[in-house]
Amino acid sequence: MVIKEIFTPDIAITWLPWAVQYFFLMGLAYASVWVATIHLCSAKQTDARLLKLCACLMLTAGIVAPIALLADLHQPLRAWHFYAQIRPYSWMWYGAFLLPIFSGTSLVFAWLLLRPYLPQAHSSLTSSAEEADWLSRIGQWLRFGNWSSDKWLKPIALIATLSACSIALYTGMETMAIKARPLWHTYWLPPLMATSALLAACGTLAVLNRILHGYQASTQDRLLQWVRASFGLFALCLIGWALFDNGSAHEAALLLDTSPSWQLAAIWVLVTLALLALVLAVRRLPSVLMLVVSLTAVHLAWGFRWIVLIQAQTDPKYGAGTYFYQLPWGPEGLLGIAGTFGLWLALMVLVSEFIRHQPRSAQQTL
Amino acid sequence: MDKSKRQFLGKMASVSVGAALIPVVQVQAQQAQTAATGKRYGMVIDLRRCVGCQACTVACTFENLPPLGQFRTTVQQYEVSQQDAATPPAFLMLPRLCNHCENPPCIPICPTGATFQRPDGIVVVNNEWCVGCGYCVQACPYDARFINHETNTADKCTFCAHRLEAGLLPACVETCVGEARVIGDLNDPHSHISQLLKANQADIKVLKPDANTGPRVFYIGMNSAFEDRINGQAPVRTLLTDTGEEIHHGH
Ligand code: SF4
Ligand code: SF4
Repeated sequence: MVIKEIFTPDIAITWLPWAVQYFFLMGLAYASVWVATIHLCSAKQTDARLLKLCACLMLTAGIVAPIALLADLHQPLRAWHFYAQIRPYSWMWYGAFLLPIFSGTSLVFAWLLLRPYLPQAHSSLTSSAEEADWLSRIGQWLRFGNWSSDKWLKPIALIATLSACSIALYTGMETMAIKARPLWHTYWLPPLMATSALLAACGTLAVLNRILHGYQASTQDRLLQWVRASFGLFALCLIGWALFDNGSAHEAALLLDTSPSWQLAAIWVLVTLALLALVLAVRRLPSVLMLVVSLTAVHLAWGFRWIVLIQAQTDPKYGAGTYFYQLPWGPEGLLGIAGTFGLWLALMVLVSEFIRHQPRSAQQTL
Repeated sequence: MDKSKRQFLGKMASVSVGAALIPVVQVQAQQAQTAATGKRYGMVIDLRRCVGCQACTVACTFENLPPLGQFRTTVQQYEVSQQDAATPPAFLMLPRLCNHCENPPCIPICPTGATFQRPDGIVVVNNEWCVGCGYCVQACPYDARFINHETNTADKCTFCAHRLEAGLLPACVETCVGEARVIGDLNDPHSHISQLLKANQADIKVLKPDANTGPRVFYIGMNSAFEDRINGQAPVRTLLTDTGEEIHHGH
């Protein structure tokens, strides 16, 4: 029996590219908390540059991500409705509580890490007195005094890390919990999201190390190890999913059979994975290549989220083939994507302006 | 801060902010509960009687006024041909709507409780409480829900609860020329729907029986190839954007 659809509606996607931005930026934020804490707790000699970059990333991405999330709600001003009743069967409802906790803890963690770099009351920042004035005044104020905050660092790092894990868990499970989308409904999804977030964060940190004032080759070497490790973990999870999952991977195989856009996506993932694996196998990377590798890793993690969150919504629940999606130009499409990245970049520039002060002694650098 | 950075910040800010904060719609108290009547509404659709005229689609659109390009019910049309060239192809008309499931996956996941099931089994959305997160739209295995472009909240078939309460039939049932759609109380063994279900016991099917959703829209005369996701060829699809513009793609 051959069935041909003659007349069926096309169904538009419901979660818009804002969702990709939320998952991506949130991933950057929680994974940079992980990197900072693991480094703080494991390294014999802490790498101040790495911690500073992690702090900038968790702070900025952690601010922009919830904005993207709010934009993905079609009624953003009703967000308070999340808090007006108990919905214990909804992962998204838990997320409404876990997210502000993470914002708070990661903000405090980032502040503790960046505090030594904020201008002190008596230091003069630049020769341009007028500019130094307001910036350094806000900077001084943000220090909240000249007391030593070192002893708080590790306890807060641990709390922030627990909170980061809760975000990784809830964002993964919220998507995984949807049985109606076989592509999402796999226990491999949360680890895939978490490992790709780590990959994206390590890549972004390496790019930041290069472009923010004060490049450190030793930090870049360390980040290369992080990129290698997170890439390995992500690739392992992908292989695990492809080999051992039968619902989601089976659905993907069906789509690959029939849909040109899914075939293209698969080719893109495989080629990017292969290229990254090849280059990462090289012992020492020239700094330009390291930059390319980092950007490729970031784009892989973003693209992975695009496929999972947007393209998966073109997989019909009942109909044949795939639905149609065209990225709109406006806020619900390209402008939304550009806007969130733009906001993040702007915040990054702003933060980098505040933390140009050099701590006076080695102890002060954590 | 140097000048270029300041200009850059200014430009970025103007691109970035804004889109997140769109309309405010007034918010009222949460669910308006319906008194228990002991009824459990369900629908039987007799596919042998459906001619695919889309009168129900039109009637529903007139009654419930969803935005352009969005539907609470549609009649999907399929061509079914056998492998041998001698048998001419047949056509199947498949009216689709919310199944008002007994075990609806769209409800537990709702983070605000805006979507709920009334005591009479009808699954509804309180669109003054819904935040438009779209989570229920993802969770419905039947693509029965959508985010209404005008209200920016979840929308779906309500079995025309407002008409039932006024003693009227749902618009789709009322208008169906073939009388293919029958609504009624599943708890009443003497209701027309219960009798129909009993008389056609061997030929009753629901969509995605294995999804454990317990649909309360039953089909008579449906080939089992249509129970689960269609394994067949997709048509050329078109999609209306929010602004009513039509976009196409072929397969
Ligand atoms: S058909 Fe979909 S929207 Fe309707 S009750 Fe079932 S799961 Fe919910
Ligand atoms: S869109 Fe509305 S009804 Fe649906 S899950 Fe979100 S809040 Fe609930």
